[in-house]
Amino acid sequence: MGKSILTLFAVLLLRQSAYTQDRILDISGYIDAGAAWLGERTVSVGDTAFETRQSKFTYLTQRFNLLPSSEFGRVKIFANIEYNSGSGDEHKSGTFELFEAWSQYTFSDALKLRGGILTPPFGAFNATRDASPTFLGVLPPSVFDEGFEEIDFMPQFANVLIFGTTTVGSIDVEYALFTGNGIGTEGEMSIDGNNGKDYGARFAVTPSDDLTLGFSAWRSGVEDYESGISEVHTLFGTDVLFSSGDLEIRAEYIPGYDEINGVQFFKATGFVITSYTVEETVTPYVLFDYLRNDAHIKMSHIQNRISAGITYKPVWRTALKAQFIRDMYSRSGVDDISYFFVGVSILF
Amino acid sequence: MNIRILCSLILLVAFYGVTNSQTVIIIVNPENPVSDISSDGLKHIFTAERTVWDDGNSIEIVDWKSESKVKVQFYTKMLRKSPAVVRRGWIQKIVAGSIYPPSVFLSEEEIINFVALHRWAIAYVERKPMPPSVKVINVDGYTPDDPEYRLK
Repeated sequence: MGKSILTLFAVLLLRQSAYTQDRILDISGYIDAGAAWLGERTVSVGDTAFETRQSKFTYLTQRFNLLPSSEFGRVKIFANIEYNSGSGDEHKSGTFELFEAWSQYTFSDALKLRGGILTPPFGAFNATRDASPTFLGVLPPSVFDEGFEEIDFMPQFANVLIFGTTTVGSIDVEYALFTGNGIGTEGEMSIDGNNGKDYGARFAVTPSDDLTLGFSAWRSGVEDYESGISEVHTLFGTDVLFSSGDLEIRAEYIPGYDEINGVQFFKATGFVITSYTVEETVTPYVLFDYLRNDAHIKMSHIQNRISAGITYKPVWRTALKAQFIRDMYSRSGVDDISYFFVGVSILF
Repeated sequence: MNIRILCSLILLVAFYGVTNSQTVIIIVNPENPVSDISSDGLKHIFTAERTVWDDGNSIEIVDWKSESKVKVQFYTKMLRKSPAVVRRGWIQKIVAGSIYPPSVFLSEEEIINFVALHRWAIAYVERKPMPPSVKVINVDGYTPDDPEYRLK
């Protein structure tokens, strides 16, 4: 009886699929693998201690992400499942993490409603989520490095998103409004369900084929009733994309404030990436990153990063990359660090 | 003698220009109700800024794998972006779950067959008689025969 019902259900599903060309299950994904040489470096251990580490060569499978999705008419379900190889956090090695999981109802391109665990489109970088940097020829800004989520610099996840694109006259307009359970709510959840909620928005215009300007804002507030510490995080983002022929320049600046028990601390991050593609396949690029955060002892310094590299794409789903990176710190006791990275990325 | 060589060169260049410029047509599945599309709409579709048809079904982008004359003409006249920049945008949107990976083919036959089998697919090919399994749509209200047709 159970099997009959299942068979009937499957037949109905397949018939429905054949009629509407729905996608029952579509799986794509990407894999990043590479090798890195890290120079000798002094690293922070805890808030005040330092440790010198020798140079080393490492082989890393940086990312293996599966992207299953289903679509039934106007409803789409999507997930981004990330396999943790341990390259970022060795304690997570061998585990799978649900990076994103959402369902979306599409009214039109101008109005889409998404709910679940999703990446909030704050700023240009997050809006496009360059999750596979080898592929794209650029490295994510240092604010996306492992561990930076703990300094509340970027909204990591949202739970509800309303967004869309439309054209007003000759100007393309994108908008997004999102909210989520926020960050900083570790420990016992309070009975106040609104504690820790965050809210954000992004608005972008494309006045010409070459230029896109984006503006974002985000605010999160949380109060720990046990310790009496209240925190409010506010960020504003401005981003520019200039793309003419094979030349592309992307820049983003995000200033913000952490307000802890009424005391305000400034923080800011930004980056500029310039790339030029030759014959569709070879892309040399230069990236400059800036990060400053006054609110946290461990991070209370300016960090600049300069990177230069080249990406070769023999076919559009595969990229090979070589990159030199130098992190420069303004903090005494912490040396500048150099890396050299070669990698391959495949989208399947 | 020199004038003859010069004239020959001019004629050669002019002839090359004529033969190098060809009309590009836009094809969809015959079951797709769309019969006309604007230049902006076409640009938004192939740059994945627009992801759904008016009835909410996801658009399936079909493109050429290699650098062909028709591809160069379409990207130059319609998208005004390089293929590398457009494909970088695709990858970002695939990873973000906004679009499915576009289908990329080496030959016109493969492209026509794909559009014939996929109701929500859209592609561009060189103008020539098409089989009834695909439908040629207008651009900005003009048929490929009109002098104002943009993809000539």
